[in-house]
Amino acid sequence: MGWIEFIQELFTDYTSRTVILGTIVLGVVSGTLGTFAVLRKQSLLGDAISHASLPGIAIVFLLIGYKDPLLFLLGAIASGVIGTLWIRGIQQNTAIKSDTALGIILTVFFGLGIVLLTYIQRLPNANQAGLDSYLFGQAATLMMKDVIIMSVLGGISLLIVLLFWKEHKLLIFDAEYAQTLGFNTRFLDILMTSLIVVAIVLGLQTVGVVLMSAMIIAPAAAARQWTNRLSVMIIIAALFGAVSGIAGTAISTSTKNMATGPVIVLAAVFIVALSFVFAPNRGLLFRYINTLKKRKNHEHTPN
Amino acid sequence: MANLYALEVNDLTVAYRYKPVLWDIDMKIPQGILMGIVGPNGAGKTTLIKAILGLVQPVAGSVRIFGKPYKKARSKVAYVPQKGSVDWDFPTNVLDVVLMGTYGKLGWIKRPGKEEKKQALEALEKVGMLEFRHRQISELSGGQQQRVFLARALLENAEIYFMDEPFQGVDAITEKAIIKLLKELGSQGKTVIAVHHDLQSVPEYFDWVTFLNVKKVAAGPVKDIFNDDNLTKTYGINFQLSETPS
Amino acid sequence: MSIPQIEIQFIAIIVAVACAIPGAFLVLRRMAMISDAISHAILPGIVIGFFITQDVSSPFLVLMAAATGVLTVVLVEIINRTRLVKEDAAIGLVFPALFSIGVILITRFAGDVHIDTHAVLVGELAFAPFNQLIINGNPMGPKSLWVMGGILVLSLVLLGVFYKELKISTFDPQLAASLGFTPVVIHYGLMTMTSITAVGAFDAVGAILVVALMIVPPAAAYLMTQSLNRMLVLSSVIGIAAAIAGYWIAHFLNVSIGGSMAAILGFIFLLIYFFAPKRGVISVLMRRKQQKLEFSMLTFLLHLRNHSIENSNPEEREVSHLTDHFQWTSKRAKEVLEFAENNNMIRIDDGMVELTDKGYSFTDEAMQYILTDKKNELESMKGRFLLFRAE
Repeated sequence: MGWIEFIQELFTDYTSRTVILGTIVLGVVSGTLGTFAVLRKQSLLGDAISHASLPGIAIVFLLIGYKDPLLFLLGAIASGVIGTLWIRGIQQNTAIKSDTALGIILTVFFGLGIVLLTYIQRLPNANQAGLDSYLFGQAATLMMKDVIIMSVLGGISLLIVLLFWKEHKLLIFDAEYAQTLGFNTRFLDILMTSLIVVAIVLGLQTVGVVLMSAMIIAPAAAARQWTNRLSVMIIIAALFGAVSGIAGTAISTSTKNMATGPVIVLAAVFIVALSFVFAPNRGLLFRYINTLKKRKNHEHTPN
Repeated sequence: MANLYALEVNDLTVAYRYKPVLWDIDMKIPQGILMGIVGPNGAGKTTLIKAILGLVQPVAGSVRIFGKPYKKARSKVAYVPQKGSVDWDFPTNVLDVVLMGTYGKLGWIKRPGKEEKKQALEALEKVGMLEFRHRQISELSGGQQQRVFLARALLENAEIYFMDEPFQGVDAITEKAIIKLLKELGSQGKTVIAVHHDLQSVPEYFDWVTFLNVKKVAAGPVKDIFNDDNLTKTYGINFQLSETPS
Repeated sequence: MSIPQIEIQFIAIIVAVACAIPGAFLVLRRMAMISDAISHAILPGIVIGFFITQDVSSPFLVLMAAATGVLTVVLVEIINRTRLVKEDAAIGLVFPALFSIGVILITRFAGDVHIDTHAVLVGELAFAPFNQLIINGNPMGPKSLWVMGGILVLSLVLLGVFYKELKISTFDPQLAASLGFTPVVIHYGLMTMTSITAVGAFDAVGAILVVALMIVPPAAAYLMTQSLNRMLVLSSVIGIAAAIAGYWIAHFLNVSIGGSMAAILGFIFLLIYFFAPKRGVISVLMRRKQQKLEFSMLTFLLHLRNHSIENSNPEEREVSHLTDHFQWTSKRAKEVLEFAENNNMIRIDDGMVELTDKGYSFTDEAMQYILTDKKNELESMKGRFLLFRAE
């Protein structure tokens, strides 16, 4: 199936429409909450959370024996949260530095997840098909039921972002000041971290645990280059997220045997690269031209 | 209210990992004065302000602002943090940062409206930053950043202002603007308490001074206590004002 | 045990030790996540190298893939220098991109590359014995054993030669620079060695779990010891234990060896995290509790002393007032008072508290230390004065 047929099919074929809808939701939610994560300098926490969610999915499957998108999401959230709490515990109670704490949780939880996954593979349970797609993502496995769950959870997350807009902005910019104004910053911090966990977990089926962190970072990092307003940055990030989601899904579903995650990530990183170079004001090209101009001016002004 | 102290600190002790940072601090600050807190590095100046504002949990002691604990007097307090404490590359502009000063009064969820914006513009005018209101904050100089923080604090319409190193790394224009603002606040009967590091300018800027080095060495009107003796006690070296390096 | 089983465990042990050595320095230099980036980013290098050499164990492939790893570090540093994004975001952008390219190459050319995406993640240690090094028609043991052994020897030699430089540049980069060791050289040397090790270990444990072997044992060792030598040895021991235990658990459950090694490492880390003497969580929390009680007593005594000097306010010495003043719960107040009394610091008469002579000299000395900023002396002083330490 080529590109053009794919786009034609998009509007006619039920399955493709489901998949595209799902990736749009994923892109918008991860772009929006990724903006918070990137601005809070928690980019790599996303990487740890996404890897840490794998055992949760596997354990839920071992318990129930079939595939249930909602329970998988809850399992992933639970194990992502446990990972996050352990990271905080290591940071607060030991002399181990935070990046090491991230690395420990990331690899250990992922290792455990792989053990469980390979164990499940040996089970004579036919229902296990599909768990592997959580590693690198497989958009084609998205069902309407998945998309509805993603939309509801994502919609609630976005609503919370809107509702606590000014509080979130204040927390990221100046948490101590927020506290002196009387805001409960501990609550806000937990709220924001939970939203980021939800955003990551929503993308696991499509992008996979290994690469989901890039979908948190890339759209936001690209959007930052085009604007100096938080609201605009979030809108652009959501847009970039959706675009890379659609592009990645289109390419991967039109190619045989292609996991969706890597293609979506490459699309997103490609947008980042374009933004780094061509964004007005901040972009490298703009800066280069500016220094050239300055040098020229300098030559023309007599000392 | 007139005879209440603006700030009362009783036996305040703060420790970091059970090592004392502030020890048994007592002070009673009357209303309407401008007070500088001076002391060597590591004397606990910033910690004192943070402990008063409830940002740092004290081991013992209590703080009262206009006779009430901080949580109940919050609306009377404004805070100007060190400008280096935030990420100035945050995607927002000057007006937006200043508007944050209204968030406390607005409470949860409610957004600033026209009235708040008007006040923000007035505050920016006062610090001479009106023309920069749409400027992205990363494009500000150190002095301009400081003035943005001051404008934000002005918007809190407080009775007592806590400022952490407001004069650090600012240009001459900003320095003048801050002094003018301090005097203006003073003349309105507001109280200002500022961490300060330039000893030479203390008599010029402030009415009162607190010497701090883990323990309070002295506190009182500048003309009474700003002398070589207290400076020596605070800084632990022989001090002669005339030779103070600037 | 069959010969392949012995060979597999032998490889796992060598991989564990080879990873622990650069890993210890990465952990100490706060570069743990850089190793994560490197281990992901070497994938396209491995795949392209495989196209050329058709052999995962080829030294050429190892070097080429290692170059990709170093390139990643350079790329992250370049992006950081543009200041367009924060450092952690730069890492988080570069390695997923390179890793994605690797995965796509593998899936696109699945027929030509004998690596599947699963192996990328967890390695294929179980198959290592089938790829024997053959010299003059004689099998000489698994190829990856030779490759990894070579990498370990190289690592040990470099560690031996540059031990002093590595140590100083890790603990005090400024001193290192002033002594004439260029930290940049050491930095890239370490990055190169990390990359080479990651590539060598790829076959055994895959791209992600190699990070577990690099980071978790040194982090656990870090909680057990404060000496670099011991940390290196202990990391290796922990790595070896996890390698052997991991292998057998994987064997009995019939699951991935790499995954099981990482999970065992997690378990070992969990134990050490809680139970390490001095730096484990339980010991830390107990010590904090002790320090809190002792510190509460100290503040209490000093307050008492201030007010007995003034002596103007007798109610300042009333038990009820004191507990009020510090806003302690009655349980806490009782604890502090008892602790002070047991240590012979105070006398309680009729609800009034008074310092004993010992209490006076204790507070005197404590005050000296606090005001002269010798706060560390407080601890040794407590040892001299306190009959009973808080538990």
